[in-house]
Amino acid sequence: MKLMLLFLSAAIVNNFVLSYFLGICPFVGVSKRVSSALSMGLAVTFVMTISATVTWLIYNLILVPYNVEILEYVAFILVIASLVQLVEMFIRKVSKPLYDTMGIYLPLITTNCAILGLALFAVLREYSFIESLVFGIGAGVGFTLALVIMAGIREELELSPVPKHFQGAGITMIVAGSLALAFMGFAGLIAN
Amino acid sequence: MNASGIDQGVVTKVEGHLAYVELESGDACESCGARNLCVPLSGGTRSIVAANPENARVGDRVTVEEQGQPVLTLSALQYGLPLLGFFIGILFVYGGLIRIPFLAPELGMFLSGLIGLGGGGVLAWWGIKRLSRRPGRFFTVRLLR
Repeated sequence: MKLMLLFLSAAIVNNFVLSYFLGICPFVGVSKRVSSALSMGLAVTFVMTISATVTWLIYNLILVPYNVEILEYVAFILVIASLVQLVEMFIRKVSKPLYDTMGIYLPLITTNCAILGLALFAVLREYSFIESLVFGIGAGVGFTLALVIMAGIREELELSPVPKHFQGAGITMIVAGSLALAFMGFAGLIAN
Repeated sequence: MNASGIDQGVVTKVEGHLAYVELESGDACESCGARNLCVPLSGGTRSIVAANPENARVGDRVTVEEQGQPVLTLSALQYGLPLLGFFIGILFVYGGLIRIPFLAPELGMFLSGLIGLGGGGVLAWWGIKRLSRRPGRFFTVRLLR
């Protein structure tokens, strides 16, 4: 039950994009079409889940025993960047069409502060290994959810008469703000 | 099967019924401050092999369309299967179905997860290889008029 609540909390109540405003760059950049939003969401969920577990191991089995917790930022950034590079290399090797269409978005994952935020939150809240795993999956699902909702709205917006001065980034920010307001309705439903 | 435009680009080579299209930079990069450091943009170009039913010629500007949802299918295979394997691997040790001696329980779970991840990766590789047998199957070019 606790793990289920943790999952729901990370995915909906404390959504990384719409509650913490982390990972806004891909949220705005890759939300023009629902299919690319879903693909990006899958990629981010994958990296988030793996990095949540790897950073847990590094923090608890290396940094804490050797009393060098101060290096957590450096260690986490290195882990996340290496992980994304590995994923990119694997995709380039295995799936050329996917790399050609998604490759351009992959560096966005490396510079996605939501992933570093996830690792830091997991440490701060002293999650166990399994809790970190569930937190990672929940945060990834929440990220995908936010991205897909946004993409759905933007696809509709393409057919709507948006006033000239609001077109492009302007209307995107207004929609993002409205979505964040809507997600505020979940605030406090589950504590962290 | 529905088709949707993913990007625009210029035809650089035509080979039989296939066109090689050099894509323009994606919308994700337009406002990115790090785009000069970013490998996909600074390191060269992205090119896609696509079916060429409209007989586009070298130099023509075209829209590349997806046939169905290939990127989504490939993403689901590429990320979904290994992730599922990783999750199942961890659950096997967490649920006590497998015991790994001489290791901290978390390391055991991670190791088992990695094995699952590898298994999922192999399945994904096999699935993608099957899907990618025919070049030009995923994308089609349409001339921009």
